[in-house]
Amino acid sequence: MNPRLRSFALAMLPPLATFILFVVLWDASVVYFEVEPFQVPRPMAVVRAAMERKEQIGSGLFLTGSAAAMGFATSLVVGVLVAFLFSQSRVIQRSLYPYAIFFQTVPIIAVAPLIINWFGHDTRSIVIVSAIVSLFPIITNTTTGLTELDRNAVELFELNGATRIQKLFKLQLPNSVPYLIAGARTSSGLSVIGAIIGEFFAGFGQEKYGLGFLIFQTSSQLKIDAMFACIVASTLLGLLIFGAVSLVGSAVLLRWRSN
Amino acid sequence: MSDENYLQMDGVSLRFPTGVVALDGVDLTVPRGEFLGIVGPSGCGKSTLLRVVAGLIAPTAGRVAVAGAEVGAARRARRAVAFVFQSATLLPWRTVVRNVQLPLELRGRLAPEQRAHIDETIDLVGLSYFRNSYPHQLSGGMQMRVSLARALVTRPELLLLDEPFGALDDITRQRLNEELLALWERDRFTALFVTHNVAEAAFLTGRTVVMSPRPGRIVSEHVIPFAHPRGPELRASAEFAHLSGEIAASLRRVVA
Amino acid sequence: MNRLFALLCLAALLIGCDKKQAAAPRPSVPAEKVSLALNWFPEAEHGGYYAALVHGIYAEEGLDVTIIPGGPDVPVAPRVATGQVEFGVANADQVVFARAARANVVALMAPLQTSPRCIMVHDGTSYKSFADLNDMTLALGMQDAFAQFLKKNYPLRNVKIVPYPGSVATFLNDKSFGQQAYNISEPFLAAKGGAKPRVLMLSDAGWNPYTSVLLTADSLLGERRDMARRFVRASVRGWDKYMKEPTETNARINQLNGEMGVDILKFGVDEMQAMVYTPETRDKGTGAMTPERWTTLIRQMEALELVQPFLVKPEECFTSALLVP
Repeated sequence: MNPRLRSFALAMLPPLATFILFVVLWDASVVYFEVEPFQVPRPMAVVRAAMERKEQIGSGLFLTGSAAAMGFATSLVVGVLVAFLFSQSRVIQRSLYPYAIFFQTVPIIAVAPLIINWFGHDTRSIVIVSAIVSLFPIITNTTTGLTELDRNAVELFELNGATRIQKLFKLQLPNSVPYLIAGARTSSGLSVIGAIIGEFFAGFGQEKYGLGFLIFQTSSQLKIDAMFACIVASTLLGLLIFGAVSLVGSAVLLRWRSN
Repeated sequence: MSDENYLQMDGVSLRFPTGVVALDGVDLTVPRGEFLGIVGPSGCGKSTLLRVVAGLIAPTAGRVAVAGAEVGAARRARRAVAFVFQSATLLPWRTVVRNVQLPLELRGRLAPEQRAHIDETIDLVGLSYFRNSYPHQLSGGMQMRVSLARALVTRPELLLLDEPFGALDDITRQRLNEELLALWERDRFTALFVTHNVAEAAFLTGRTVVMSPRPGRIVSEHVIPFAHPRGPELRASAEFAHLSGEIAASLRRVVA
Repeated sequence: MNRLFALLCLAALLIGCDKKQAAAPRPSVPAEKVSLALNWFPEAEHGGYYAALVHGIYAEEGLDVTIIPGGPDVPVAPRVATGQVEFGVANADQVVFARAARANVVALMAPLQTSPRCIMVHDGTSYKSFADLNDMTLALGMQDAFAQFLKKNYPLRNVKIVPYPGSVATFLNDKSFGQQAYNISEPFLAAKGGAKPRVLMLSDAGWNPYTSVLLTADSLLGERRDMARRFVRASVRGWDKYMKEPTETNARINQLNGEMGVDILKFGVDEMQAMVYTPETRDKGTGAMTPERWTTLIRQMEALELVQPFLVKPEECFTSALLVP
């Protein structure tokens, strides 16, 4: 076997085994404890429900996925800009940082209706909710990357008469890349949660239902097997975005990670 | 100014805002082309002294002049000084060649004719084969060689070395000592070499001063008379052992 | 906001219950403790159950009743089916959904014979019937069966459907905005807010599930039939009381749910008179249910593909046995 394929297979083995064990335990518990199907369905029922609704879940995945991706991209751009602002002066950072924490602690459920009030009932509001939820890790990580520099490297730049712009482009920005990637990984999962919450309040418009609505609907109609299928789909979506970000991240980092 | 007092320090003191006195009335004259060693126990302000010479820290009292100009002005001239740090301090996202060319980039646009000089400098430290490698692909000794090349690429008049080989194993350290000395013998730049390793100072330098712990001041001075070129066999000679012993004794006195 | 509010309601209710217990006349045998879970925050459509509590009717039947307020999307039927609570209040379509999911709950009485469900629009606009609901924004919980019914049976041309906002704020500012509502509450709030609302009743369009239905689990009906009978009897009396003398009960509901002022509750009671008392109930008594109405609802839900055909049987969904005096 191709060695890269082999190492990939080896890396996939433990989580796969955990998954299989989890499913087996799940099924056995439902049978053993005689859990009602409207409380916890059996795994096969979830698979069946997913097959029955595969078009619905597929388009839900696409809608929620694109909203989450846009929200994530927005938080990436805004987060880096804010971090850049923070890195420019201690005073700015000290005065604004407490307000950045707002994005971490804001009860998004309370703010979402406001956002819809301001931006209307459409994808834009969903993207904004998703971006707000995923913004904070980008800001903090990137700020750290821009400001916590190797002291000797700073002296090297100073000694060679580097300008502010040179220091920014040749030292601070590249230095922040690994931090940004770590923040982006955390944010990627949050962006999916944000998109689902956002849809809860804003909706995508007629005939367009994302995973948030599907979860809400199947739960309200007591179609618990289908609800589990939607939850699994949103988890997969989170994994997908996380995986994509990690993949891009490690491709970039491959070059400069020491050890 | 003459070549005799290329670097001139008069009564240089440095008191940090915390009240700690790092340097206390340091007087030091270094002629052009001298390889000066500075030894002392850790925390005696050796590194601080180098940073004052480089103009990275301003002294709170006294005067520092390089080539007759106050240090601030010398730094603005931006040619004279290069610094080799305790750690290699390579930018992990740059290849060897791009790390080495960094000071030239920072000093202005990289001219095509500088290419050959950059390659030559990398060749000088024996890393031609690795010019496109990333730092994490190199051993500690190789990383230090890159760091050295990055300092030499600017053709410095004054090279400041802050315990550059302190983290390396003995064999590598000795080899790098020999290579550094060979480079000096070729170009005869002025060098200030900080170390706490007495043998290293005795092997490399023409003169070595011993510093006391905080507040740092110069307590003794040792002329190292061995002729150049010096080879590894020098370390085995009785004179070498004698001189090393003298410096070590002086060092022991300040620590006690 | 809503969640915090629900918590406060719950806290207030618990405190309220303690007081109630102290005040209620104690029968010689200790009262049987049972719980009733609501499908929403306490409102007029739950009034009869609160009346039975406030006026000590449950206590007279030897029942120590705790009413648990609900909120958005609370799973009433599953909690009843699994015996976490003895009784629940939900709308008839939820009973059908529950039985389709094998959550075996059964309806015992139906206080609101007519569904208060409506679409509220602005008076003086072109939206005079469901067929006219075009070129507008409509706030609709699409997960609800009635919304699917609307979508299937009416054109809704160029209608932007948005989630139900839980208030009338947007409605007040936008003439081309319509929203789902209960005719017994939102129109009052809209009028208070300065708008002239018009309601289009879903019941007129043929969608008319029993509302605020009292339900319990199949199993409880087998094991504690006598207790259930007393609960139903007290609840029916509670509704009759509420329709005649709502003042004390409304004060209690207002205490539990500050958003419901006594004026709007009074409005609700007035609107509900014709919905609780129909020719059918005059004949069969308050809360009566018929197999025909249940069959109609199930067929409608099957047609909307909300439940599989012939999975849910009307006779399993309800029983009138406990209603007979």
